[in-house]
Amino acid sequence: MAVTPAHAARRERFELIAEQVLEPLQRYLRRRTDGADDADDVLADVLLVLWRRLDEVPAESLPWCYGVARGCLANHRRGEQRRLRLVRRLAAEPVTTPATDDLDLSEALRSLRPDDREVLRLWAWEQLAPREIAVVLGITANAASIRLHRATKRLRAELIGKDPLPAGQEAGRQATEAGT
Amino acid sequence: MNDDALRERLARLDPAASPADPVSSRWAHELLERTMANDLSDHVDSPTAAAPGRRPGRLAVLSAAAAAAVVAGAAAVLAGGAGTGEDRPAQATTTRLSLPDPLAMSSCVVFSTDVLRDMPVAFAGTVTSVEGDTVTLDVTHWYKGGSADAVVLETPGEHTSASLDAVQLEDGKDYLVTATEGTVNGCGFSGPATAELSRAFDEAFGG
Repeated sequence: MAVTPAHAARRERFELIAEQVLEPLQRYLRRRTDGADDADDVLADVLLVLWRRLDEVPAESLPWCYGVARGCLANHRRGEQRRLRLVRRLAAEPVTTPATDDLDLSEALRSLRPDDREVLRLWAWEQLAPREIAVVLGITANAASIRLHRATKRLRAELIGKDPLPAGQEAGRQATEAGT
Repeated sequence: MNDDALRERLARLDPAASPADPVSSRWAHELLERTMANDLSDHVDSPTAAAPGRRPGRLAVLSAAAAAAVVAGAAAVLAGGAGTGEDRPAQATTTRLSLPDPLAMSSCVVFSTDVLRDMPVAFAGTVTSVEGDTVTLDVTHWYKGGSADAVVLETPGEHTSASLDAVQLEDGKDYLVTATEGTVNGCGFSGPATAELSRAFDEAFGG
């Protein structure tokens, strides 16, 4: 099909971006799915979106691609839930097996709310900075910083066995945290 | 435990520590090829597009158009002439395509019917307006990849006139046009509807 200069140029750009994002995307999806098959299915969806929306991909493509992957993953889970509702247990998120014996931290992470958990994973596993986390989540960089700050605080609290920031207080604390 | 230490400790929980399939692997290569085989141009006018791959002949198009006109007329009668403006069959549909950037035309594939045949979008149309860098064509026949009544061709960048292979498009003239990924193909794959190009389109797309 690569018959025109426009098509060839598009293929070239796609391959260039894919080269940069394919491996990180695989890891991103494997961290958040039950098995490699699921991850591969979603990866194919992500690549198709990337191919179709190639003109929209920013220069810093990886966080944008993570954002797409996040959406595809959510679609995939919705589809799975529709298909398999009540047939088998479907947690909102698969529980990934820790690669370590740090059970305290693993347990603390698991006890957090999904939003907090995700922001911590993007920070520690995808190694993203708050401004990149912002792109993935579709929020402002400032909001991403606040969320990350709050999530680390809650994680630490879980680790020492008490939560100093119960749900419901965060709105009031937000302004204070934004300044830190 | 400071942030860096916490981040490092968290990173050690990463369940995807096992290596990903490298982009150089056969699996990755096949995956990318499969992705790129998805033909975007079948969706140039997806809101109103016919089923992909549908390739009616001229007679089929004429009879379909006639049927649509009858349906539209019936709908108007049934609606009692309320004129809501939402009678879709009566509304003209428009697709937008880009003209190739004159400065970007660096290399051309040699023209052949075989190459032409692979073009995902092909139609015949008459130019009804030329306004600076924007040209509107009334579609007289869809060979492939669309169903809109009109196609608007826009020139990318800062160019002040709409041209194809360095020749300006002219009002009232008939053209045969192919496109890939939303961009009109130059290099002789689109142009004035000469007898020669018409034969090539008929041969490639079966009329």
